[in-house]
Amino acid sequence: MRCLIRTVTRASASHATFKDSECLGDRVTIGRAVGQHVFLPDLRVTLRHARIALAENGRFAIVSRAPSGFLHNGQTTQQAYLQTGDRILLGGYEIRVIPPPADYDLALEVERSRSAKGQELREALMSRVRIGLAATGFGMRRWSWALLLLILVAFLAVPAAGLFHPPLSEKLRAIPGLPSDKVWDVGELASSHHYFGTDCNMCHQKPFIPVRNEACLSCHQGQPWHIDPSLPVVKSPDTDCTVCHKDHNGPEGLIRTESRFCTPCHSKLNAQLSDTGLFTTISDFSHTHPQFKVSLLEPGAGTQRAVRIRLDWTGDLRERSNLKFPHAKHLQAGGVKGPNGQVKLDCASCHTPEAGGQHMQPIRFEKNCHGCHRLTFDPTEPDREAPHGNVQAVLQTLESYYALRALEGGYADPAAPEIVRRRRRPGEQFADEERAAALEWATQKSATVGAELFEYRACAICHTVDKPEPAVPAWRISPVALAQAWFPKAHFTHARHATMDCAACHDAAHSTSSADVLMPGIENCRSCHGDVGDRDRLQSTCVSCHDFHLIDRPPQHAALPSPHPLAQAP
Amino acid sequence: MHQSFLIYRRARYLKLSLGLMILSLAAYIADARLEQPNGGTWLGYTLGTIGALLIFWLLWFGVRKRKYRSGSGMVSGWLSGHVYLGIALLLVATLHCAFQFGWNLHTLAYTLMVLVILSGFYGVFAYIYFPSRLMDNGGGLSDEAMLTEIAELDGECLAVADKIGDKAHQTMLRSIESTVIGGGLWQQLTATSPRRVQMEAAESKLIDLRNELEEEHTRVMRTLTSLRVQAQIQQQAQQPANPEGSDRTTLFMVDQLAATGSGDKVLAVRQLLDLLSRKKALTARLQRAVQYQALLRFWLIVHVPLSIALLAALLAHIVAVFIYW
Amino acid sequence: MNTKIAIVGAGPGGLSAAARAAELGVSHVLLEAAPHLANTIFLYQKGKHVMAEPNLLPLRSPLAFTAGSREQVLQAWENGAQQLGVTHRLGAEVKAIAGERGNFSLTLTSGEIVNAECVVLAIGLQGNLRKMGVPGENLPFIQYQLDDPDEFAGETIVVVGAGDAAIENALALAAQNSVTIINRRDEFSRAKEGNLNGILRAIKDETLQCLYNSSPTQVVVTPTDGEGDGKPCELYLSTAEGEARIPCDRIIARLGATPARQFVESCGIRFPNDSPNAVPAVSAQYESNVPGLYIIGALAGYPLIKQAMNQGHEVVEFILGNPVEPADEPLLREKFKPILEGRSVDQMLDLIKTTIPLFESLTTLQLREFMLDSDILKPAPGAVIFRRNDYSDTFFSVLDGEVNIQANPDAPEQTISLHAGQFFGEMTLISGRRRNSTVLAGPDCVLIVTPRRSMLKLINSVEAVQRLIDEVFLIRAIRAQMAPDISDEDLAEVARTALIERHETGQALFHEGDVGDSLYMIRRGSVTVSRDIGGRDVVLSYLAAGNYVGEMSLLSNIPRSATVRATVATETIRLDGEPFKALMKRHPTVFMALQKTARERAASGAKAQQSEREGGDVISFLVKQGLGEATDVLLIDETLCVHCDNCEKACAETHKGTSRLDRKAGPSFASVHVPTSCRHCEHPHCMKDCPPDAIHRAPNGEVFIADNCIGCGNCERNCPYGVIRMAYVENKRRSGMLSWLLFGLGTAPGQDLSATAHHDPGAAKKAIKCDMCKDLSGGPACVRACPTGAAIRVSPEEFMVLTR
Repeated sequence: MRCLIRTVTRASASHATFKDSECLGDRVTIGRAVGQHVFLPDLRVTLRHARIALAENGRFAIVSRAPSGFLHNGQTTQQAYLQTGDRILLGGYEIRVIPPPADYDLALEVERSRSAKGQELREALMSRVRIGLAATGFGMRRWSWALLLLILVAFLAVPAAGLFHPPLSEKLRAIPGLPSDKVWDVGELASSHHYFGTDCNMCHQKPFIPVRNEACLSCHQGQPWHIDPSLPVVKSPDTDCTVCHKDHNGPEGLIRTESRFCTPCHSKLNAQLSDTGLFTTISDFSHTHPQFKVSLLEPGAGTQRAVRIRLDWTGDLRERSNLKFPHAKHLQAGGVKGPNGQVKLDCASCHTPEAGGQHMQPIRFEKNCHGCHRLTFDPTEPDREAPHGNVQAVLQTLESYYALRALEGGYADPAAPEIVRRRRRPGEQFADEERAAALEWATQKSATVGAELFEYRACAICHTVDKPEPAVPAWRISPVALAQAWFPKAHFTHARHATMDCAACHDAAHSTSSADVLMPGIENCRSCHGDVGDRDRLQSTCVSCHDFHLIDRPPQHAALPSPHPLAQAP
Repeated sequence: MHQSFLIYRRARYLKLSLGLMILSLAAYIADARLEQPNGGTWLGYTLGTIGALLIFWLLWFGVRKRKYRSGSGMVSGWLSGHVYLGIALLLVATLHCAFQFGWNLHTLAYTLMVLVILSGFYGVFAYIYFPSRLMDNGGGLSDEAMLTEIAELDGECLAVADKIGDKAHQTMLRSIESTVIGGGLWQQLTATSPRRVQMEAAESKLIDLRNELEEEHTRVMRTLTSLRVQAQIQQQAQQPANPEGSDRTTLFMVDQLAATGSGDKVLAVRQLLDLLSRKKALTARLQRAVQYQALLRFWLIVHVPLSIALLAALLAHIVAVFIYW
Repeated sequence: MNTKIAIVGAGPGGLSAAARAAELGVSHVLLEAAPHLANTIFLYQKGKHVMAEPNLLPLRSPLAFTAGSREQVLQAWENGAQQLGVTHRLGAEVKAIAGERGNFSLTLTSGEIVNAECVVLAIGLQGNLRKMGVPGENLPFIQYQLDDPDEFAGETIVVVGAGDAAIENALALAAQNSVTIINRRDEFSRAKEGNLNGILRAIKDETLQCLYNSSPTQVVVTPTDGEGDGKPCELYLSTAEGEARIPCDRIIARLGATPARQFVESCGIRFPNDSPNAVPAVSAQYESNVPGLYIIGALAGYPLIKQAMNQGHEVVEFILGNPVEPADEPLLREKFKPILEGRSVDQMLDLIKTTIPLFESLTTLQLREFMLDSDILKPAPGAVIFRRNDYSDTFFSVLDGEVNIQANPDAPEQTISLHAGQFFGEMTLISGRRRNSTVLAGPDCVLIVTPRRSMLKLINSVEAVQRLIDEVFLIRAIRAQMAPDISDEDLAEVARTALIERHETGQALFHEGDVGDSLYMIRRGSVTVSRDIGGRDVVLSYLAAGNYVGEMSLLSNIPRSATVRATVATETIRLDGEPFKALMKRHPTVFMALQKTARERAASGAKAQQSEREGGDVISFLVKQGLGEATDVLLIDETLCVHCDNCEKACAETHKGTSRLDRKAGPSFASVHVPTSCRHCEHPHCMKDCPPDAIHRAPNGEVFIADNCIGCGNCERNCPYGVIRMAYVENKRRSGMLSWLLFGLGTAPGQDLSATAHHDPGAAKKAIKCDMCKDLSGGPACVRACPTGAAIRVSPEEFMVLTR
């Protein structure tokens, strides 16, 4: 090819001189080395920087041999096809492709670019300048999307997928590190529920539906209701459990004890169930809680029926237990006279707490009374006692004792027949008359002693005893009807009040009659207990005293049976 | 006349935020006496709803500030609200969760929220602190103007270096090429240049060159002086005999030596070093401007993606809470 | 050569006249200096849209003319001229016109003389562009104008000339071309400072070359086989070092123009005054003071194409003695309809002339033109014509009935009545500020409402009008500012000795220590009050139009206590001390008012001196940035600005993708930064020369460019603050924010699309500037979008008071 290389030199902008040279051959070489066709004495140009050759498609192509390439019409490139008007910037030189004159295939104009220099330096500088955070490639949008999707997938979509496909859920839960619905766990389960492990669906059975009672009742079968479900006050029984039982509050936090779960209903029940007459308006303990009612057994009804009477009832508030027990006498400061001398008694001498400490153990004659109240009946034999608790047995005991003594003989009683007084020799036979006389005496004697026992000495001291009448063949002891559960609707624990003096609540020292009701009233409790928020007193809620679930008890408005053993006696 | 967003309309959002915080705290304390605080209590749900609405509103700021046609108040007012209500959110959300934390989605959402708010705190600091720094540093020159001036200094350096020779030219070229401004996030934040070493190397090379040239110059000058002295002696000695002759040769040699221009070169290198130190100062200033701007804005790289993550976590939190109600 | 009518200038007017003459078969010759008919339009940029304003005016010409592209208009005229057989001579520049009706001789530059009975001068206002005056000066590579520098890229261009136009062109072209500028002398002595700095810097940077002491000797077409450097032409120069040759693609010679006036005056035509805007007075038949010499078109004060064409048509009829009803007759009849009551338009015009003394001295033609621009208003009694603090700038003349002016805002029941023949609204016209009173219509009120532009034109062309307005302004200003209850008679002496003085930017009204007792009322512009403190001129306060200065010396006879300087071109009314003192003696209330002002100023001045000097420095800085004539300026507090560019984005978003403000550009002082953004000047420079009258001031003060902008660029050039740009108006649909926010698709909100916007190849650039978002509720978007409260828009008065 024949190429015209025109070198333009400008002393000043106006004085342009043109120097033409010609190059023949298959390529035009460009570089800083001597002998290159286009000689560019610039340090930024390598010795053999580029060459131009005819490409296969008939166009001229310039190919860089240096890694830095060249600027072709403003674009840095390694190779380019040339056409008229193209500008190639190499170092400080500009090579322009100009229309080839006749007989030439290609014409290049080479000029040291002057005006471009400042611009070029600026461009070079700009290529090394990265200002602004946008240039650093920290695309906020990318990060945002990544985080958004990551969180939605890992913490919502994947765990939620388990809801629709339980096996997946199980798999996810099984392998640590995988996002299961564990990530939704808001807190530790109550210790009783720990055994659920990670199976959320034990309680949360349907998505978006709050935990239902069935879920609870599947384990807690037979859990008694608080009230009769048929009562018109019952609302949304499905959610009843979760009203008071919120889990995920740590090992201790399952039961909510706040009074506000009770008071909304109990402050209204009065109006809602006015026909029952059973309720008063209760919105707190300190002010609106009514005076306590004691459960007193209905006289004559045995232990089967109790009546509940307010402690502040101005009528005849007496316990009719058929027992004579003046507390004051027993608690005399100097003690009481016992068979073995003076005995000093206190409350604990008789009243000992049950295991668990909630109630007191029932008072038993054998355990609590017998020590002093001996059932001896024959002064000659001070160790012999009548049995306790059974009239017939007492009579039989007496009869058989005195029959034996009569037949034995030697009974030192001047009123007795001789045969009874006389000592018997061993093997001595009784005559029939003698025998009849002795037994006659024995019968009379036992009747006399029996009357004495029942009516004056042993039984009648504590019990109310009816004498035999023609219609009634024997003495009758009125059954003991002691109220065992004074406050059956509340649970009072003596154990937790153990540090207190008994007398602080029960004024036994001044009680001279067993008919006295020694139960303290609400004012007594209020002296120490207040509502939540009370600064001066112990903050107590409804459930401090009252149970919600009535385990083993009938609904609270029914009467309670007494477990006193005497109640079972005929 | 100018009113910072912090005191927008007599700090009405500060007051609003304080009100909200006091109200929430009072409600929380009052409620805590009645029941165990928890996200699931009545107050918990209320605080949670307020918090969620706040988060949506705070996120809306990103949209509002781009809704340039919007007539809904001033953006500075929105920012004021964004800052103060964001602070209030920290308390509202903390009370919502009642200090119950665990390894779960809910605490993740809380953590993200705290991180977003903390980065926002930095943002407020940056918005208060850096504008004045930028102003003092820039001294009325924009980044573009500084860049142009640096490029001009480059050009002058090259022109001067051309006068000295190839070596100087190449050193200069390398020095120019090692002028790197900005760069990656770290470089912008710390105003460090990856090619500072090269730049300093170029400078020390130039100092070497100057010393070399100065030595050479001194040598030449010494030779010149001695030649002159010699010539004078010869002249005095041979004046009567040979008025011209050898002193002419000496003078020719002196001229030759003088033409080597070592003096000019020394001056040129000095000039070059001068230019270079000017450029260095300017580059440092620009670097600092870039650094301040990066420090002014980089927190957004944390703040924005984390707020979006927070949005995701919040949505997941709300949905999850109601899935397992 | 002898013809009946010689028409000089083949612009729209001349062409139309020649066409009408040709149509009527009257002998005529159309002489055009340029090589084209309608050269001005020919030089428009390709495809530029030519407007046909005013729309209402019917066209009266044998030539067709409707709004359309440059090419369509030119084609229509060329065809018309050819069909009608217009006799025209191109390249025939008239050098001189001499003679009288029936016997004019026109000398051409070629030396040829054309004789004619009548001459129609339709040369427009541009004057003749100076040519290079060397062989080859008319080659197609050479152009004497440049509309759009962006049109050229990658060319070698030689710019000849050293004036502002040449420098601006060279700098603009250098962005994309290799440019050499040729200066005949050794420095750029005529250039404005900004241009001078620009060109010297560009030469230093080698972004363009400059040849000093060089003058072109010839331009040749490059021989096809020569060393032409591939360029179509070569410019030969004689330089100090000898001859030089520059091969180039294009030569742009900006050598200025011979003003038309010089030539016109050489023909014997008189101008009413020396104002550069003055136009020669012509009769209703367009005849000038030289009988037989007619003037039409822009030279006669009618710059619009349609007007000029109509006049061309009419002038031929007038020359032939045919009565012609002016083209605007139906328009005026329509306009006068509500008050015509059976009178003719001419009678109505007479009535106006006799009723309103202001218009007495107008020619009928001027009055018709004036009335065409004006409107007749018949407000119901009690209707508000304008309110105090409105920014309307129209001028009102009372034709009938009366109006009531509430001058005192605290006592609206006190009114001053104006009656038929009087006028109002001149305060705003002169000061460029808000209305200072509320005007209500009285009974039977009929008003002539004139737009500011027409009124200014009238003031500039009729001296009597100017004088009358000044007199009335003076009395009213004195009364408004210090003596509200004084009668005209009492003020007469003060007014008689009052003088209107003009002060250039920076010029002092008086200096500290000067002896003098006159009072200065600022009627337009603004001033700073400064005092020499420790050898430094410290600015104490800033006073805008509507205030007075100099009261201290007047009251106490001591020398001036401060220096008062004009911050912009300022006009004051100087009131002589003696008559004013006499007035004060008669009216102690005036004295009291003045004393009160003096006391207040003394107090605040003392405070200003005590406070840091910075406040004063900020004021001087702001005044230097042109805030002296601003009504509303964007200021950025740099201690709050976080460089988020939200202001620019908001601007772009609300203004078709092109921001009208440049945050980074613009100077700063202390922490106050004045970005490049419109200041909404009191007398907007941009409004000065807008051919389609597209720049207006909205009632709230916003100066805006309406859609009828034709893209001439006059406003851009006229704006001293560089806040107007020429740009393609975006027609690219912006994508929704959501798609960008979520996916980064489409355009970001507020992205400046001016660089990427697609525009029709035929579309023209239009001028864009800040309109303070007048159409958006809530105020300027830039300020509303600023997240930190750094950007505010304030009136300088407010700001400069609060800066202290």
